[in-house]
Amino acid sequence: MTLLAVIFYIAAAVAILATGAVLFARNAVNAVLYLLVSLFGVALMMYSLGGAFVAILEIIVYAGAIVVLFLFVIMMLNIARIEQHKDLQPPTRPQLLVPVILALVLMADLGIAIYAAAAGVSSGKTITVTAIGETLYRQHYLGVELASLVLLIGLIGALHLGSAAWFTHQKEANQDGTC
Amino acid sequence: MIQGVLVLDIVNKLPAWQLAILATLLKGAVVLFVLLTLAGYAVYVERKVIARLQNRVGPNRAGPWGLLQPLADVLKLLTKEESYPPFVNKVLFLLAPAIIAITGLLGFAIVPIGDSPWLVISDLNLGLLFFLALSSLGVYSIVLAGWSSNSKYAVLGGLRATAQMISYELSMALSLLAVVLMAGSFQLSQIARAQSPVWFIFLQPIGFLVFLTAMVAESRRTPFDIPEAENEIVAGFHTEYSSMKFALFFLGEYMGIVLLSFIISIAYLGGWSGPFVSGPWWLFLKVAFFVFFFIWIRTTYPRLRYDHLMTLGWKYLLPLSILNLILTALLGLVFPSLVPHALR
Repeated sequence: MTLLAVIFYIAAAVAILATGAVLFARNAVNAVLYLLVSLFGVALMMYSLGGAFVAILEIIVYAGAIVVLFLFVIMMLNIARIEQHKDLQPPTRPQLLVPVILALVLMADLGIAIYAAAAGVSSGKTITVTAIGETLYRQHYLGVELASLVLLIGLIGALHLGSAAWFTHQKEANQDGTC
Repeated sequence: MIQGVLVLDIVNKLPAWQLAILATLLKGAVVLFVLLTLAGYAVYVERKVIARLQNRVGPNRAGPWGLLQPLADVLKLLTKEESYPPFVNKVLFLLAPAIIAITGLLGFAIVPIGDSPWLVISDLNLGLLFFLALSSLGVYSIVLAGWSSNSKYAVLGGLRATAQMISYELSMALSLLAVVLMAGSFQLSQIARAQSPVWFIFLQPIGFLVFLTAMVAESRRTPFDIPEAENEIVAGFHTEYSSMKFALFFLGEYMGIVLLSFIISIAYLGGWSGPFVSGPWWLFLKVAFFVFFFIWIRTTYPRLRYDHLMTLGWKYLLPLSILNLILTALLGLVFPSLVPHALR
């Protein structure tokens, strides 16, 4: 086993353990920190497979931006303790149907991908930034465009929700005669 | 003399990878020593310069011209009581200052101070991204310090700092991306070399100004020191800290200033190149100027209001940096001779 392979397995173990800890943490801040550890584990796995660029993007985007926002929201709402809300009903069986089907499809997809690539997972070659750019914007540009469209829809949705709340707030403030 | 020959003999017999590790450790030790001394003297210079600009004398009691003041300060900090306020989350409370010191010091691993592999600890291919990753991880220190202190001032400071740093990180990264487009590489030494005829400050004036502004905001110093606004929230996220843990926050802040000065000098001012004889001294001169610049605007401008800060970040700097990036890419496509180093 090469040094990189050893690093890969250690990082994988850390990532899996940390993800488990996210699920079982009682404190929301601790859960987010375990998520951070898990992301670092995944980044290290990417690195040991030769994808240094992907690894560092994982840290910049996920650890540096998204998880910080999670922490920000948790701090702002002060919801460190995870409590069972009484008005939150557990989902019924028909409601669970679609998520379960989606999860099964995802797992099958993942299984097929792992099975197909089992021979050449760790080639040890470094993947250059140019190679990633070629793959994304020459071969899979349709996927990139679709993903950006989905993000745009999400952005418009967020804007709509945010501005609707803002407008009603303004209206109420005007009716109360306070600003 | 004989001992020196003996050491050389042993070093010569080492295999290449051990030699590489030894060289890296040595370079790291030298850089660490210089930086830790520099951090202390950065405080001294700051106090002296501010005093001069405000018509005062500044520290002048310890040693000639007060030159031993940093030593006295460090001794005082070291001998202070290490205290944990009640109700703090101890693990995170201790982790927070460690994170900022680590991310601040680790950034220097990729900074080349001259045109030779001996003058950089590790010239990473993705150096600029490594720097951006470290600066975005530095936010955790402040968030965790604010939250784990269990004090309302610390939480407010932490919230403000997070919002501010996330907002300005984007413009900083986007303005640096235009530099990467021009240089065709994320490697800092490569970026410095790509500026051999013309510095990027002349080709990227918008990007330079955006980076300069975002850089000051990222280091959370006046006029962007809303996270630690003394007259509103005591000292912000480090209200509850004392002794060595407080010193680590201070160290992180000054390391951040020096690191950002190095990055801006390399990305926009040609690094070690300069008139007459190029060499590390030009880089140090540029860095010294930017450190002075940080101090200079601290005494010149008052603190921004919070909504002004957000407006500046999201409504001006971010669109400007995106525009700059698109312009750079377009000009590079239309006039390829403008960006001879870009990848095609």
